[in-house]
Amino acid sequence: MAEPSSPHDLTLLLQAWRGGNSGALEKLIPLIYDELHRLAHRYMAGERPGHVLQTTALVNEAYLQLIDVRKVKWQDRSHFFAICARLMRQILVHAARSRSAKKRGGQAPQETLDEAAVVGFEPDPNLIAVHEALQALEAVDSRKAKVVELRFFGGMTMEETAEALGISADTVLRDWTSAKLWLWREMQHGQANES
Amino acid sequence: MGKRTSPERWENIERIYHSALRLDPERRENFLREACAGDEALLQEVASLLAGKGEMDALFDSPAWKGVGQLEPHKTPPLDLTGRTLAHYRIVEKIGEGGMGTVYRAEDGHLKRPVAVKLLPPDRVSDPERKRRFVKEARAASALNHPHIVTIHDIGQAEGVDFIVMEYLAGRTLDRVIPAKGMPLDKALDVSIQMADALTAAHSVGIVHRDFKPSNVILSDSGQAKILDFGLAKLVAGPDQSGENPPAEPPGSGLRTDEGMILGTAAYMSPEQAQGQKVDTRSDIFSFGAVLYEMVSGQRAFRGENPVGTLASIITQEPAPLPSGLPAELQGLIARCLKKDPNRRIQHIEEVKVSLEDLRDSRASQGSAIASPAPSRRWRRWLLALALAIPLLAFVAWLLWYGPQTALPPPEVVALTSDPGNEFFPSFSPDGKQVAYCWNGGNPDNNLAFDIYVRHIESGTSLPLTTDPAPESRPAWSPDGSQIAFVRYGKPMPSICLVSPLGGPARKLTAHRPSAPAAAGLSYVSWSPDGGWLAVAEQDSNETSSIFLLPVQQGERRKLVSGPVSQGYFALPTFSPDGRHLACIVNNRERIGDLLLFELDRDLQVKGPARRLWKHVPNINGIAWAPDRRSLIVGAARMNTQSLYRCALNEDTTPEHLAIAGDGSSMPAVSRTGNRLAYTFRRSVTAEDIWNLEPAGPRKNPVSSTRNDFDPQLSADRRQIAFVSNRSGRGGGLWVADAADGTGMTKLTETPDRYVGSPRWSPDGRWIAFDGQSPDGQMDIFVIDAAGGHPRRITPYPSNEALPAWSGDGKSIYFCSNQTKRWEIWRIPWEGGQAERLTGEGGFESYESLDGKSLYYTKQMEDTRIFMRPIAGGKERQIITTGTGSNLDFFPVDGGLCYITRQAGGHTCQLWFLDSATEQSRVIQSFQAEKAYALYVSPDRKTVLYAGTERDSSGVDLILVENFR
Repeated sequence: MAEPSSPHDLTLLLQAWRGGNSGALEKLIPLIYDELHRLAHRYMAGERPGHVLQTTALVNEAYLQLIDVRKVKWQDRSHFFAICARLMRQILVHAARSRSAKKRGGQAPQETLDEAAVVGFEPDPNLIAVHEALQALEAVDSRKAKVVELRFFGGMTMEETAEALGISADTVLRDWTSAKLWLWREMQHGQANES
Repeated sequence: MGKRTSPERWENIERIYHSALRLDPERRENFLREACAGDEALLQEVASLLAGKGEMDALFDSPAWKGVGQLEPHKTPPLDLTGRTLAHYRIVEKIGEGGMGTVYRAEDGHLKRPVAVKLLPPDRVSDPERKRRFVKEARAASALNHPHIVTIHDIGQAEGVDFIVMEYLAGRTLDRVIPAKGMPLDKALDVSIQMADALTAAHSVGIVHRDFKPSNVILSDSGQAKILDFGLAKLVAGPDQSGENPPAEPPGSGLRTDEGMILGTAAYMSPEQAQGQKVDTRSDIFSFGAVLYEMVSGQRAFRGENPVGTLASIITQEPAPLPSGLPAELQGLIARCLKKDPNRRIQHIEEVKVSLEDLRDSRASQGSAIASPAPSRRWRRWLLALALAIPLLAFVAWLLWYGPQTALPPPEVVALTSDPGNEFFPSFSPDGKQVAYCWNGGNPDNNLAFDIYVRHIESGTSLPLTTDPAPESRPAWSPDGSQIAFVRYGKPMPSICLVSPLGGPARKLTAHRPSAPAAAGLSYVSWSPDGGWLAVAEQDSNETSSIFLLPVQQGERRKLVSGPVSQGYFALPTFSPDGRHLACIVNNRERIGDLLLFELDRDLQVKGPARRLWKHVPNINGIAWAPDRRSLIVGAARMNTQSLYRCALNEDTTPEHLAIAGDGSSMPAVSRTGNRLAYTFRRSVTAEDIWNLEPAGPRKNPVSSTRNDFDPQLSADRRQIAFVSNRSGRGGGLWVADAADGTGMTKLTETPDRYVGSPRWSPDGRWIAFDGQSPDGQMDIFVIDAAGGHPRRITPYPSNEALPAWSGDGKSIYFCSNQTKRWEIWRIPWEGGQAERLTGEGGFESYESLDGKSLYYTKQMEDTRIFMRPIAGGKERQIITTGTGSNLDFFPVDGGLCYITRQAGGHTCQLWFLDSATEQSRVIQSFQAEKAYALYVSPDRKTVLYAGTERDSSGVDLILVENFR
């Protein structure tokens, strides 16, 4: 852990962020990252066999554990899930990279014992490709990229995504359809260039 | 590549792709050729995308986590065995299908009787562990042989199918029998007593049902209730076999089947089950409470939009109040079954059963001359229960202790002191009405100038007892109330002194040799209950640490216990209220200690070796005996966070975090009257306060507390302030106080675990509108009488409604709603009527202009724009944009509106006034704030309130918990 945290602190940080304190987000992210990472580790290392793993469930669990739900406005909840989607993307991509580095016989940078356990899972080989294509999309159309991040990495529904971004569900659907195609094309081109 | 493709070309690709997708595959080729008009690259591109569509959808349409430990339920089509014969059971018809298997009605060919045959789904049987458990469960349930538990006849395997044969019951499951308004009370009592009886039998042999819910109770046509499907039941080790406890189930293991089952099960799960913790018989008691709640009310006790929401509700929310017509005893009983903390719940289902029987009997005897239930009858039952089983002894004791207290109001956290500087070490007077503590007077130049003070809790007045320049600490009030002992850190040596709580000179009792740094700051004296002795820990030589008893009047000091410092340093000796025990700690050099308990005889001599109650605890800072006298409240800093813990004297239990005190709490004290807890609380630097913006700068509003206070609003006459605060320690509540000095503090409403906010005064000052979570978790608008009363929900919609604002005539309320999937502003007559939508292109926070002609509003959260539209109708216009930054907080004033902006990355905020005539903005005042939001401005702009945090408000206060148990 970066620093000791309590639900109280996190709630306040989230509120502070909503209140316009951008510094709060910087403090918030490592805390949520640690918690998500811990949860992801537990899931991936198979400590919870039999559980139907859903990203939203994971995020919900992090939410319940981290946040003093009694004090959180529902807007904060959307924010929280949006942050989680971003973090989950980092965790997954990191795990996938470690995994592929291991497969090639090397050690991924910064690999820790925990990481080694995390990489016990088989990541989708497309994961890194999606991540990189998404980086390209971010430069072109950040809202669409955000929609993909929330849906694909955050496992959020159309409605949840709409609420988190403050746009209509129809817009989310349009963005999603378009962005998928864009990313897919980008990924095909990327592969073609590699080979 | 995307980066190199021009937006126009990409648009083209996308358009042709989607058009082609809408065509039949055979027509696509022609269409593509036509649409691409000879651009071969374009055609290739689109064709390739079309070809990859399946793959693309497969990739994106399940979240990135797929494959990670995923266990999608196998959707094997269920085998239909109707008409076939399994062993000697002829399958007649399917009568049910649940998460735990398909159930058929069948006929036993040997005994010629109807039976129910439950098949274990084939995909489950392939898992040998699951199968083994299934057989074990079935046998356990069968062994019960109880009239209200479905009898198991046989467990078998034939044709590769595992099955269980049960008695066949003509009837319906309870979930199909409960009417929408609840069952008639007598019927509900009758059925619930039978259920409780069955669970009593199961629990007595260590079987926990684990999945108790209405669909697992069959009501036969003759009115007999039988519990079925101890499908998740597991034999748990009895109390005498604690070493053989099976490992805790993995969290969510009760959730593993299909979605439908999750839904059905989640609603009745106990909080510990929902959180994946170990469950015992008390988990069934919670589920029983949830079922009983539903039986008498027709409503689920806990609801959510989805299983996760339901679980969250179980963990965090209290069920809605039961219909008031139900007997208070029943409501109380259900509430005690539904306690979140298993230790606070009714401990034995037997008690539930007895209470329900009493209730039934008292109802049956109503109408006869003396209707009240005879206490002697109750006692006889208790004694009977006592004779039945020894473990129930503890339960009866528990009942005697807690029984009369259940009527007590819930604990309430209030600030005891909130003076500048640091207050430490509370100690109660014997009557619990005063607290001695030490305070450094808020003197920034001399942080260590601690003196002893006494505070009268009711009046809030404090009196200094000592004025000596030497720091003083750790006051301890004598049992007869006549003296306060404390430690004075004078030169050349600290001493233990006594002073009257009324003031006057202090008397030095003896010199004090505090322990080495391992116990520094932990010098503490504890009075023996007869007031004759003070226990104190000292280091009496370089090699020995001891606990001494100092005579208060005259005589020699006595060494109570002693040990070499290599084994640790004693500190914090604390007598139990009856003088039979002494708790203390022994620290190593790193200040990691063990909590010890010595037994004392009548002469205050130690009897036998100490018991170690809690081992390897970092930084224990205080010990107090809990009101139940069977546990200690201990302040410790685990994981670098100071918290209070409840540590049972029973060595086997793990200390429990005292959630009500929260993090940052230390140095507990409990009143001898047993209903008050005081402790030291380190203020968070980010607590939210309400500020008055005055010409000289922000000043903390008198209503501010050490907890979070926000969303301030003044009434129209500016005499009263409404705001939101979590000062009671139980979630947010709506408070009202005198605006000038914060007196007359009144809590209008508070729903633990649910959010309330945005209080808005009606123009006539009689009502307050606010937004809050309804029991379904959605936000709604409520109105409450400002003088107190029940909130009335005025937006009964399934969508979220928030941010109310009154119209100037006080007849209607504006609010935002996401009914249309987008935030729009609506208006509703507050005394009842239809809501109408005012905006069509987004609308979030709104206020009517004070001339009543226009509506000012933002469109979304974190909006940096303010719009305006004529209320009578007309186009909207953007009147303010700050472009970047955080949410624009604004408030209408005479002739326009005020809003707050903040310099990016800085702490300088600006209050602006927009003149509606010229539509020009100007800065009225700049001020420094960590953050500033939830703005209120009086019409003449003379009073400005906002919520925000101080840049550094850290400090230490004393907190009081009333009704502590």
